[in-house]
Amino acid sequence: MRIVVAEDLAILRDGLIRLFSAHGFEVVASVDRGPDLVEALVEKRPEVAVVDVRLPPTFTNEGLWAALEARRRVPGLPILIFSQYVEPLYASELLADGSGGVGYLLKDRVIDVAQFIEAVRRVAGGGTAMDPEVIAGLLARPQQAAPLSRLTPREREVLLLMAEGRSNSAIADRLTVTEKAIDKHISHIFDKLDLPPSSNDHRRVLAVLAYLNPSGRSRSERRPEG
Amino acid sequence: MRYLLMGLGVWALCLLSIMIYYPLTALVPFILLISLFTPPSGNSTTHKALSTLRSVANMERRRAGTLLGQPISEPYLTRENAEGTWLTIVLKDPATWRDLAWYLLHLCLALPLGIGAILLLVSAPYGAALPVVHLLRPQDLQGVVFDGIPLDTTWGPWAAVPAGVLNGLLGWWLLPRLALVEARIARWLLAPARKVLLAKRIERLTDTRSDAVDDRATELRRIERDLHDGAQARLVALAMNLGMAQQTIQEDPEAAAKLLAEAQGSASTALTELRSLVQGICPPVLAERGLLDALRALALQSPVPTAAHLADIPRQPAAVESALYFVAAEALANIAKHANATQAAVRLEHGSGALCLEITDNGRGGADADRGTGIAGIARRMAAFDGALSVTSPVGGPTTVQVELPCAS
Repeated sequence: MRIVVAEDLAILRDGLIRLFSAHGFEVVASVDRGPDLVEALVEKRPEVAVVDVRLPPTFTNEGLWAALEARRRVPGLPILIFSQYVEPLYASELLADGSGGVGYLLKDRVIDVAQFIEAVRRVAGGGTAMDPEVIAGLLARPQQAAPLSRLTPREREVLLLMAEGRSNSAIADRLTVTEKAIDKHISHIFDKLDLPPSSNDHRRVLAVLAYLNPSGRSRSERRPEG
Repeated sequence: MRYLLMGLGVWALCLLSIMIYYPLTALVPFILLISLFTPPSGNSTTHKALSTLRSVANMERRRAGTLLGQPISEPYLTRENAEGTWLTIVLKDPATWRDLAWYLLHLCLALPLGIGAILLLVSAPYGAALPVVHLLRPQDLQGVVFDGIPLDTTWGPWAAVPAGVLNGLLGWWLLPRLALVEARIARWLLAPARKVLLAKRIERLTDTRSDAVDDRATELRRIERDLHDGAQARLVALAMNLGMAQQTIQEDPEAAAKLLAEAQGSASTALTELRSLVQGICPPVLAERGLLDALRALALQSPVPTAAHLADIPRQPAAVESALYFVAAEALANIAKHANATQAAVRLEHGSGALCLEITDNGRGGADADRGTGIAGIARRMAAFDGALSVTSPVGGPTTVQVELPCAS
């Protein structure tokens, strides 16, 4: 699978290149500056890109802007943003265009290599990979307490994993139950929360996130200063 | 008009105070002069005279300030920055002597202006009444002249009507201007002298600077402690696990694998703790996107549904943006913890040289600036920027926390 890596910290960039090569990815471009990134993404058309939010020259969110710009020019281009911290505002901007193939993870997640590679493959396939911390933050709000209390603890676990963008079989693996059990849980969840059922994983994520965060708005039109 | 009538009232008060407190008006300056040279000992007449002068001057400050739209502050030296008894302080205060100058000027001006005002305005109905008097009892108008018009002629009283109206109009036009002139004279003499203003400003700057320096030191100590107990401790544990894993990897690979997993856990926790530390020092979204998006991000993350109405302001210095951000963060955190609210709003407005940030919620109110250090801390931080904090929180809500900062742009 062809991948583009954008990361300014050399040691981390090399580590990622080695990691991806070892798992059968072909690194077609590795970028350490914001301005070069959009070109690399649009020209090389990788199957997935892993992009750090903060890049030179401004060290603001060059990576995020480049990702949004590239997805404007090439709709649905799969990009996984990763960062030292997660900001729900950025997550909602990434999800704003409604098409799949988007991810937002903490750099910490590279510690669990298998999960990280799985997330990258999921994004490449048009799915979603949202960091559990973003989801947990959204779930923790009190106005969610009432409807979410209708869910059993197991269903809440499934909801979390679903909001991250995992497929039913991945969730089943993770919780070591059968896929049929997961299917049942999911249809219960959608019933209890009054959400329309959806087989498309990405649409599912959008529905769940929209449910959890009805006031979320994005402003993907702003350019960085400087 | 009302102003000049009130001026007349103050004049009457001044007259009364002369009759009650100064048995011999001409001796007032003389008495004051003598008390400068003799030891001040319960000279109660002078004491009462001076406090009356101050009260009258303060009344005038309020009145002139209302008319001019700009409050006039008191220029007096306070107990803290002068020594001696009340009497010596007051006598040595140059402001007292300016008050006296104003008082004497006012004695001369207020009576003629006040009476003139009444006369001008009364002359309109008076002029209108003249024809009636002329028709009923013309003999009462013998030898009377109004505005230079002899009233004992047949045409006189009728001409007096428009004359009276003209007087009235003149009064209507003239009096507000005279009132403003009088208010400006009052401000000239009663407002604090430049030296006093500067002295007060220096006092305030010294206080807020020492507060700001103290705050910084406290914050640095907190960061040091958080790093020491948090991330540094975790990294030590991680290094230990790696060391032990290295030692046992030959004989007991399984145990080594477990130690490595633990090391990963420590690394993860260290990263999480560092993340929350950074959030408390300088939130990344604030550094990357500026105040507006950072406030939107706060509204997004707030457990209580929060709307953000933000004016499109230009970028401010980093210190100002950071201060405003933490005010909003603290206020929203308080709302989440205590307010039991279902709706909150963050408003940022920009106008007439000031930035205004307002956080409101529909919770149960009763927030007290004295209870809990959160709000008091905000007030201190704002003082360093010459900003002002106001909290309106009646029991039962709604609560409004408002911060206003002067800004150049």
